[in-house]
Amino acid sequence: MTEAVGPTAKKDGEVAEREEPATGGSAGHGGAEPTRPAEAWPTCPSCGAEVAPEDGYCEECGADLLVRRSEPPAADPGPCRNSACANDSYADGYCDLCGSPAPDPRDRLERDLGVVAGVSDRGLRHSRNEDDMALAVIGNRGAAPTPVIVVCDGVSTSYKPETASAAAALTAREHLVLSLRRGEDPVTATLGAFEEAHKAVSALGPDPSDESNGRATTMVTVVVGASELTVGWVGDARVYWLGAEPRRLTTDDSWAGRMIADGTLTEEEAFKSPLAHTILRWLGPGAPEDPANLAVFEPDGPGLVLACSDGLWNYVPDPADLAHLASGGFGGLLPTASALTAVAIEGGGHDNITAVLAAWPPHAPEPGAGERTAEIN
Amino acid sequence: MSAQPQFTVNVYQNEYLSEGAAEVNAIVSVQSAAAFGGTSTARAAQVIMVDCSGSMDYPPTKMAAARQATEAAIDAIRDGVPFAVVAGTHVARMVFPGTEYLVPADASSRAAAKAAVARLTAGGGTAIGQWLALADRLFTGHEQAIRHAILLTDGKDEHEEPADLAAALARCEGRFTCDCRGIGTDWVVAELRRVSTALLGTVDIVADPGRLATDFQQIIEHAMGKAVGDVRLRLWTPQGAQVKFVKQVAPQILDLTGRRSPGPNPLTGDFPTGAWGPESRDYQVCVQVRPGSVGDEMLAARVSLVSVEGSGAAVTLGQGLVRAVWSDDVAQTGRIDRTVADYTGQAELAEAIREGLEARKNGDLDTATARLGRAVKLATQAGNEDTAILLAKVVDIDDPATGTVRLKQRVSDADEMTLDTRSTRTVRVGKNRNENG
Repeated sequence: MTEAVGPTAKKDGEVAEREEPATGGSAGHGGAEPTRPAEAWPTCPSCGAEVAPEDGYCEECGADLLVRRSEPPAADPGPCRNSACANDSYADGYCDLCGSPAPDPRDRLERDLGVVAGVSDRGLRHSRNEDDMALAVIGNRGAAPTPVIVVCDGVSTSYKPETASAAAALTAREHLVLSLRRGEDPVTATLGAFEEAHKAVSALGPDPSDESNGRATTMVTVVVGASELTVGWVGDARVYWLGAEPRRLTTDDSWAGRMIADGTLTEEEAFKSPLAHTILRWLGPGAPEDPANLAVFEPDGPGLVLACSDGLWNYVPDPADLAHLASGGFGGLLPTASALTAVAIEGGGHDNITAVLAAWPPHAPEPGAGERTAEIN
Repeated sequence: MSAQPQFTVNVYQNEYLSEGAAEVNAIVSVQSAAAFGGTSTARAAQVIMVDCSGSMDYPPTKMAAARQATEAAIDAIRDGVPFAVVAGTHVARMVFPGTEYLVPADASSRAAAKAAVARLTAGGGTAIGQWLALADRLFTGHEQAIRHAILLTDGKDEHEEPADLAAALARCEGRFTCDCRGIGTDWVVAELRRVSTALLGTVDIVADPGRLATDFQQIIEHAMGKAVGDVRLRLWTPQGAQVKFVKQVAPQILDLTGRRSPGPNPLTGDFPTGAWGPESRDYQVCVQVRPGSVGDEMLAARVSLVSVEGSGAAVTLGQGLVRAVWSDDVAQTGRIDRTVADYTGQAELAEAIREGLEARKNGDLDTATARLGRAVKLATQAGNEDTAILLAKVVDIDDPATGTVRLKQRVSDADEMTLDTRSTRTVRVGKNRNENG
């Protein structure tokens, strides 16, 4: 039931021009602009008054507009990464006692917005986490909320890949949140999110010592709608449907993915090649200009949506195996994402690992249960 | 105010280590350029020590050359720079001025000094420790100035015990820098090198007395270009790490490992580099760190160049980071940094020459042939043509590529001493270097 959608990106000029991605997690009041057409405005779930997409609270009744965003990594580095070292002061990015790299809050990120939760981990073999994720939940009046997932994997050979993945994740998440609240359809919002993320990565600038070495990241997005999942991707991060009939919803933009799609090689043969993980599409300078890959999937029963980087699926590529692992009864989405991550770490943790899960169908929060979806980190 | 030079520090290394590896090697390249391009106006002080032992009259051209060279040096001293001339024999005697102090250079003091030098005659023995002790006394009170000395000798330090020279050097270390010159072939390379190494200067042979005046003039001009005095290489290494060696590798090899003094905290140590004008120098740093696993990264050393003022306050002139990253990618760990490899080869070249000449002196001709052959091969590989030419005066080379050589039956003392003295000179390697150094 995976339906590939062509490049139907219709330019939504009306709204695209007043994009101002908010970086904060809550509140913030963007200020109304009277020139906007009324039908593009979302409404307050409490009083029905029109609100601006970037507003956190209703200007009329003060009600919480129920948009939850996962927080970006904290700024405070915390204690030294070396467990044998009790130091917490750093110079030039290194511990000034033992010389270990200053701890990076991105070494391990856990984000839980209730109906969507994820883990991003440095793994064991890389000196930093070049993956990133950005999550959001858009509350709807009296109806199921809309979880939004963005997972990015910075391209290791590019310049400062961790900055590319962070910029892309944040930009895409904000574009999706604001566009969806304006009433844009998920497909248009997704295509726009990839365009904006590409611009954001390109704007960061290349390696000052080698202008040809730009920044690059792969990205996958999911809008978890009430009746369908809208999936966008560029690169080899994946989205899986873990339901009664588990399946992969993305095809890799990698050498191996192309060989398999062409029928040139079997999956087993393709992944034996040293070229297997060579990325054919990415976001950032020099990327092919085609619109993002899109798939719309209509689940026929309850299940889990998994968005992950190749640091996870390298160890467990098979949808049925992933569904089996995720059904372990871990008592919530975050513990389940954590358990999947642990499988990759125990398997060798050769790459950064990111695993984000959302339950489908997304259930409406119970009355008075607003606090339950409150931001956690 | 003086025109403070701008310092640039670059680190060359392959930071990738294989699992369990613990030794980190890097070349730290330091360049300084005068900020305003003009001559230095920093305070300076100068002492010239001239050997006046009896042997300087055999042949008499040596004494004549020494007088002429000292006069040329006096002319090159900048106006206002306090200076003195010392005659060295088995004691040290003031030539100019008559008593133990420094006189600022001007037309009349230069004329008086040159008149005193013209009256110098040879007679007496050689006790270099005495000369250095007098120079040290002369510099007292001039601690704010960049202190530099020239020492000229033609003979062995035979009128004092080696311990006397060692004691004098220990007192003078860090007090002033000293460039040493040996004239003729009766002096001892190792002895004079001990002086120049301790006092962070150069050593060279002046086989032709006629070239001495030009050499002295250049030494003084170089010394007058110095703009920053007490500059140190401050090395931070992580807890548990061990500094295996620190040495200057260009323009000449100078081992600083044993010269460490404590830095501002227990993880830092200072290595002296003397005074700096506009110039380039390269250092090799080797640090043993705790071994890492694949994926680990560590700052193995932070190399700062600091200028220490009279008050003890340090100003950081430049800084470079030496990293270690453990990887299982052979393409990363197997890469050889050309700069590190070339300097390692040149250090081995100097060592091979030293050992080869030593063995030759001791009559161990097999070792001498093997080591000098190795030196020929290394000099060829490194493209060190100056050293290759000097080697060719000591050995007959059958095949430079393999280092197949035969010891020459007859080698002049001058050729052998020239090779020995200049064996520590290196050829600058690496990219983005200032060729004018």
